[in-house]
Amino acid sequence: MNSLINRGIEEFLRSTYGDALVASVVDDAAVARGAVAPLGAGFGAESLQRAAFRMAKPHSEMLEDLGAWMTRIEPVRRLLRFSGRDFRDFLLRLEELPGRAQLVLPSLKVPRLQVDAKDHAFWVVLLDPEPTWKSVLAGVIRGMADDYGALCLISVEDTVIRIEVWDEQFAEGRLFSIQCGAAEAGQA
Amino acid sequence: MKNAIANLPVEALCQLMPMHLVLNDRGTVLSIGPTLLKLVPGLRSGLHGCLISGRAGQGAEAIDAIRNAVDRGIRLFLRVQHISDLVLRGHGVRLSDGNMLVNLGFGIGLTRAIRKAQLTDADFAPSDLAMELLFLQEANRGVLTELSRFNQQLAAAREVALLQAQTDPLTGLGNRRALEGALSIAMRQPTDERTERPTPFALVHMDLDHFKQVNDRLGHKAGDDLLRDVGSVLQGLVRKDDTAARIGGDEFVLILRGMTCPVAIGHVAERLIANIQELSPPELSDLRVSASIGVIIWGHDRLETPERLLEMADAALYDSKRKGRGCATIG
Repeated sequence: MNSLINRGIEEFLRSTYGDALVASVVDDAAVARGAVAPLGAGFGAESLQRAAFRMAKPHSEMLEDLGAWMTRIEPVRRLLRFSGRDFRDFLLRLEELPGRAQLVLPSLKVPRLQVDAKDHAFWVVLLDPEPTWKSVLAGVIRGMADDYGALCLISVEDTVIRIEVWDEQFAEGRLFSIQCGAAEAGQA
Repeated sequence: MKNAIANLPVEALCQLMPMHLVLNDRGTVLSIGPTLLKLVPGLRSGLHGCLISGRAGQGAEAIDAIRNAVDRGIRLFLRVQHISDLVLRGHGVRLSDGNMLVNLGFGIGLTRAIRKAQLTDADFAPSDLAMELLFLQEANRGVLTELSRFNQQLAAAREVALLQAQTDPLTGLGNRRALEGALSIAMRQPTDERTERPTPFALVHMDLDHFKQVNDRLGHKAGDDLLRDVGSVLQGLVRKDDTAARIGGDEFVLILRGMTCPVAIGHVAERLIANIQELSPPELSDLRVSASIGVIIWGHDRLETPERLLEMADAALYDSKRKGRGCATIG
């Protein structure tokens, strides 16, 4: 499972910041670990920290970008779209996310979530406070708001992600059908 | 029926059970759930030509299968005729008016049904796990694709590592590990088609004469250059099935398949020594680099272990050294 995550991080860094940054992150990791490192080991969670350092960005922002990037990967986007007909539904059913993640990758420890809602505002509470997941999740929510075409304000507080939804159909959301496309099916 | 509660309007029934069917004993269809209708549009005009029994040994008539399942309280399996690999499953009960209410589901044929009938999540009852099954299916495929990609990457990396682990980086010949592997294979693999036994071979152990002086007087760079050149000479000498390795310092070992004639081996050794003498750096003035060689001829009837064979070749090599270097001894 680590290899999947490492590869995800590598892809994220490569497609967002280019080969040069990836190469320097790998170099940094090689210096830190010595020559005989397991395959893809340069892309553990700490590589995001190295990349953030090199790009002079806060680590949490890097994690948010990773979360938002994930929602633009078609298979991941499709999986996320399975848990909600619209953005509100998606937010309310975020509580199911740890269970869904468990189905896909049992060793991926997504913290338990609790969603509260009042009028236009939603609060996603991390029941097991975990700063990394908090930032990644905020990014995922940001990305999915774009995907559903919802206009919202997302703020990250202590152990809570607060989302104020202003307009659900601000922009035309991207299409989703529960049928997997023929082209995609052919790839698998 | 005194305790009957449900007196549902048809719309409510359709909403609650989008895959239901109400019919009488003659097979007249009285109500169809909207999802079932999408999947099997012909049901409007009756069961015939649309559904047949999905279980062998019960006769093909759908109405018989339905009645049997309803009255005996057992599971019902119905095959959709125009999607012949799709078998719906479900159960049914008698209503208070004597008609039968059947509720069907997809089971493992879900994905196919969705493709065929272009179903969306609105076609499924909220209590149905259809979406979860689809989710799992897609997630699984995604993870497996990625894992198999990773596996291929690992296999390629392993191959490269294995090759590197058996290669002498200076000369590009095999190293001691490669030689040990090749030797034990040569002694076991039945490569001779006629006898179905391992092909006999000559194990040639070679050591450079005065190599130490090249290093001491001309520097290690000159020594490395010489070793590299010897490597190319050996590479040029061996055939496809032979093996050439540098097993340490200035020690080289060859496995020459099928070479069992001492005279022929003597010729090869002479030529080898002459070629290596030509590589001798002229700066060495009074000395000349050459090679001492020890050879063991192996046939399948010999019982030595590979290690013992190498020791014997080494001993033959030392005989050559004692004889004054620059010559070969067949042990």
